[in-house]
Amino acid sequence: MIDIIKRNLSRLAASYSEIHLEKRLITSLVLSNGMIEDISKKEVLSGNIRILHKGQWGFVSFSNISDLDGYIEQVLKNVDAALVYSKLKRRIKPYKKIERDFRTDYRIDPRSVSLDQKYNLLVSYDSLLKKFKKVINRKLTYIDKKEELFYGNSEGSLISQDKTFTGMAVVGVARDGNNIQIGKDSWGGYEGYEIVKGHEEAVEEAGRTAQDLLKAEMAGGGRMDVIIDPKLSGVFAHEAFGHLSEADFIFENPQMMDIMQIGKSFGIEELSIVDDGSMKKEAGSVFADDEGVLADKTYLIKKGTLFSRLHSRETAQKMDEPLTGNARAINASFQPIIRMTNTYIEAGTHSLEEMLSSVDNGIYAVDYVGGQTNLEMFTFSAGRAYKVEKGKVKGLLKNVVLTGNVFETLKNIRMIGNDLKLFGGLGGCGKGGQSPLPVSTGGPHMKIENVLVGGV
Amino acid sequence: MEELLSGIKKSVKDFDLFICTSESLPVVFENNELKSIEGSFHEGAGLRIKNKDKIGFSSISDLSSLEDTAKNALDTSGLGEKAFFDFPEQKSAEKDLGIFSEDLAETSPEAMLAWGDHYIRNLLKLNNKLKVNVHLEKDVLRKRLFNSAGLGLDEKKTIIDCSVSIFLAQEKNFLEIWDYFSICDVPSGEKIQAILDNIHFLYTHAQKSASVSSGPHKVYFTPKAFSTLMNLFIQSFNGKLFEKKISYFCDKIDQSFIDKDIDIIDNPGLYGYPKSSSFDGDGLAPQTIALIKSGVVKAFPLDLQTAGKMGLHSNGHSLRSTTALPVPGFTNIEFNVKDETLLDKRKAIISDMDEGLIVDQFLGAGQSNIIGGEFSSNVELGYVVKNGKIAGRVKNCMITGNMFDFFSDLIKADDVKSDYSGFSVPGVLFDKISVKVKE
Repeated sequence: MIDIIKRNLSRLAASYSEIHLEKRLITSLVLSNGMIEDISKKEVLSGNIRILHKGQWGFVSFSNISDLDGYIEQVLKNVDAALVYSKLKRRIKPYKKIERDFRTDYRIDPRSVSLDQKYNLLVSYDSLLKKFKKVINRKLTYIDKKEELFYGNSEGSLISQDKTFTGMAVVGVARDGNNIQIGKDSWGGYEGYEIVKGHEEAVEEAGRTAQDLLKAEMAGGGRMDVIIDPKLSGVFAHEAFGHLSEADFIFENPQMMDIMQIGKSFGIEELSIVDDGSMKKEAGSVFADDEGVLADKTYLIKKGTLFSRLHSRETAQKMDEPLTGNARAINASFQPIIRMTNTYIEAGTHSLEEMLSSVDNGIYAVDYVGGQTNLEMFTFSAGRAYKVEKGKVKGLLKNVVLTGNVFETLKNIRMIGNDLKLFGGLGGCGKGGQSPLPVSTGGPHMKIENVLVGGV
Repeated sequence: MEELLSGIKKSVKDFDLFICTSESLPVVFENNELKSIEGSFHEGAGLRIKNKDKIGFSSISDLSSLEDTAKNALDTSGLGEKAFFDFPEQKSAEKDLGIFSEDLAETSPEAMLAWGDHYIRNLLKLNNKLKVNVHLEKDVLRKRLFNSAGLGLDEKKTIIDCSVSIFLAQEKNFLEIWDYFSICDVPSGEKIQAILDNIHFLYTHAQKSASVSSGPHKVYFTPKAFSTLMNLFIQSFNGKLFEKKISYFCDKIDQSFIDKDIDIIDNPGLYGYPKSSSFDGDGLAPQTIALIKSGVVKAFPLDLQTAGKMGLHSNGHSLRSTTALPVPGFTNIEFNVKDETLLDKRKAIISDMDEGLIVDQFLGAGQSNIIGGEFSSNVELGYVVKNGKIAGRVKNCMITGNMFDFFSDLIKADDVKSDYSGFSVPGVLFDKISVKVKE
């Protein structure tokens, strides 16, 4: 593949050019109520050519990677059409030449594990869910992916990545008449088969949650003090601030540049938010991004002030800031856009007990269903929550959705816990029609004042 | 094709093969400027087999390797689910659904650049600080389905997707408004103008802010917002959820659920609609089904396997991609209000509201326990109505409650329907919707 890339790069007469070629082999099994519902093996080939010529981008993607002649012609044609329309001269930040082969480090190669063994693992987890009598539907999903990614650019970089992703998810649905509740969990990352073993407790917890939520009350709703667990802290870091740190939302917008000035205060001194694609094994880990830039650790907020942001080559050039290795695409069918990798809030000093004892009347929200932001407002749904009265955790609550203004809520973080954890899994982030992109999110417990909580 | 099929037949006797090819031309404008003109050329195939009555599946994007795919499918069939169907023989004659346009297929990047430019120039007249994004994408698609029972189906489709958004950031107070259409033919001037008119209306009324108190309110959902709500609502009608007995409606077939004047129909044959098709993922002719007829819960989409497991017949609602086994799914959903006294012009519906909300965009809808009906969403773009007039934009506001209950309090609906992403729906006014506000 690298030879195909080298041969064709030399034929692209452009100020910058790059070629991706990819092969993905995916094995998946779905066990539903103890029976296989879906089992498959997939092979996906894809590639793309992207050029910057006379200040205009051209991009073409394809699934037939054996003969690139027609695609080279097409990408040049697209740029010619753009040049007739637009006088804008786009530029990109250059980067050093990288010639490396990367490989995921794992203990057990999932391809060495037979389908029968994978099936038996799911069956053993299923037997744990079965114990919860009100759980009427049990679903366990297993996936492993071998990704062979090849990249070259006109700066001379040639990068091969041999990545192995393994993960699984569990969902239990409990029902009592019209009351239907869900418990779930997921784990996954760039690791081997070892990552899906030993999750008996988490599987049981998913079943227990679904069953217990049948008896949960609705949250009253309104403005409340909230303690969020490490999973929700991660979603908060990702949704509430991570997206706002993606420079493509900022670099061509003077108003946003003003709001997001480096050095501005965004929260208490204990607050630091990080994106780090160079971490090992996490779901969002990359060796190099899809513009050939090595992954790095980037502080978004450091000690409460805006420290830096996430960049592609184009935004880094325009804003004259360092490259961060955050130009990512879900696969070679798409152009790289600025995306997070592993985003988390650094640990603070407080224990959960201290946080709880500081709350008179609020909620303790645990686990997440999902989250979304429009940069100004964020929203995320807790998997479950508990009332907190005079420092004590009380009854279980359901349908707890937290929302707020990003800037106000960051300022309203009052306590940051000492128990940082990161979470990956089978889900991911969606942006610009590219979903799901594997990411990890995490943080410690946090206490936030004055959050709008949905409920009846 | 015969050669490809005979390659598979060497390894397996019972199978179907679904092949898709696509050529796409996205023209993308970001922040008032052209970002790129793209080209996308993809193909892929999904092979489903029956081996000793068990299902195996494999997919591939290089059609020259189909024999290897057959081996992979055989490998998976050892553990596969029991098959509850036979591959169908050819029955349906393909009919003209208006889903392929030679004119659209031939539409040039230059024409698409002109549409994008038109949007940007006109929207900047509202405020030159706006950042306008336009994403235009033309797709020329071909799907083919063959099986070992002799079936051979072939369908071409053209689609143009057009989404337009404006963004304005002022002092940590952001405004984003978007609109879009997706059709199978070259868009008319009227179609292009409709997005401009809608964004103009929404932007103008967002210039003032207004507040509302927490509690039950009349809420008018625009067609765009209502299509979001309907998309969540119909998930509980998926045949898979009925088979697993986790649909809210499992035990409500033939029971009255909403106003007797409402039908909710899944119609795969709507002329010129991107989700229309003359055959489903199993190769059957899709049937029009009433999810709700005269307020009564009636039917749900089924594919061959799910129907077989339930002892029922498929209604031709198998959705399929090349990378997964077929599943039951929806096509074009119509929300029809039959009682004319419930219908009115949108302007009249709003002017008849003494006090309430208009909701146009949600933030985070669908991230609750949707199959349980639980709904809690931030109102990303909403307006307060006072004395029949739009008083201004409302923020820090959530719509909450059980969405199945929303439908029991329909007061009025638009007398015309709009199309959003496979939903042909009116704007609707519901009573007693729970609103939470950060007071």
